Amino acid sequence: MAAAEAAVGVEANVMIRDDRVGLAWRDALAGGILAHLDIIDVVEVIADDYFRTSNRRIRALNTLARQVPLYLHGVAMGLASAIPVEQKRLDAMARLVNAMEPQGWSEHLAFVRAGGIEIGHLAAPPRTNEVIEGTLANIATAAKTIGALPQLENIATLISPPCSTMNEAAWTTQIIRLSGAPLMLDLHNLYANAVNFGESPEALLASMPLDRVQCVHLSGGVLINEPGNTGKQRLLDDHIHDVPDEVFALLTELATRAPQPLTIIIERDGAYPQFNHLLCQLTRAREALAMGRARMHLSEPLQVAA
Amino acid sequence: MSAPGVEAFLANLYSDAALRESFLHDAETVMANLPLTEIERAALIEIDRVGLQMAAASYAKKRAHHRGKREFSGSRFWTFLFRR
Repeated sequence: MAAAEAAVGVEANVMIRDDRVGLAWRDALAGGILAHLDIIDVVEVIADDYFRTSNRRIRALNTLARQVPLYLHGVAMGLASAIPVEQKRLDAMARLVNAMEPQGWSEHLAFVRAGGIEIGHLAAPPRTNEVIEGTLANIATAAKTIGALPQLENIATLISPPCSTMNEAAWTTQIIRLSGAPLMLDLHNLYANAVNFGESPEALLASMPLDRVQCVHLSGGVLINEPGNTGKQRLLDDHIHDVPDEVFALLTELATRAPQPLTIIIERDGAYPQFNHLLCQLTRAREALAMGRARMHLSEPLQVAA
Repeated sequence: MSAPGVEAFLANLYSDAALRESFLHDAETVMANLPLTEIERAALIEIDRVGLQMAAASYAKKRAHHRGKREFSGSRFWTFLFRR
């Protein structure tokens, strides 16, 4: 039995070595990130910040890409829409991908503009078959222009998407399965939607296409009061608070259910704490991941060597 | 109304405070001249009114933040890194 436990431990360690944990790049965190590249496995950069920038900044980003595995993350393409994505945004991402040669690029399952109006942030479109069709067309165009499929990220929403005919998990699963694109699973977004619309976070997680997850986002948020003194609150995904315990628990659950290597990225967009505090959050992510991996291996039938 | 039309109406509703106020007061009148299907019209009347107000406030804050960000385009860090 001791030998079997040791074997499980060895297997878990092998799997953990394939997982990676890193941070989203923000200029305010640059010094801390560069000083700790020995313990930061991967960095994710907001691509849109570099679409219209100087050659000097591009060269600096190239310098970073030579030091650490880098992902590009888009925030304003508006792929999840019945409206065709703007070619100029795809061309800008293609230029950056060519210049950086990142490990991958990602975008949100959101619409951000329509009818000439910029919403200003990621909005959940109606979850309908028509929007799925438009989204699939947009993903295909993006993959053709950029040369690789994006990882597609689930978004948080304060409003239940109007005119929807299916739930989040069914809608997301259809897009992921039909497009062939990987899922970038934002666990705080998932948690926020579960809190806001009265679902079980664990059940929502279980209903997502977990076999397609490659990258995972972790972040924090804050409960805000509903208008009208109802006494109720909704969770705003603001990226300026620590990753809550519930989200680390979801990471453990994901690592138990999804055997493929996972890349975990913590996002922080403001109210920056001391960098050591962010490093502690990275450590907590590694621990949550390791706990899930250990559970996964314990639940597998032991292979007895012949 | 087509799916792009519904998205355009939602974008308007999320970003135009006066339209949103009118819609919350009397959705049927606001939508009276829009080429919506009966299903879309019924779905929009049943909209998550609390969520609409909260999401719109959040988007307005983001738009204000983007405007502020565009005004500050300098990056001392990158300049520092490149000059090393």
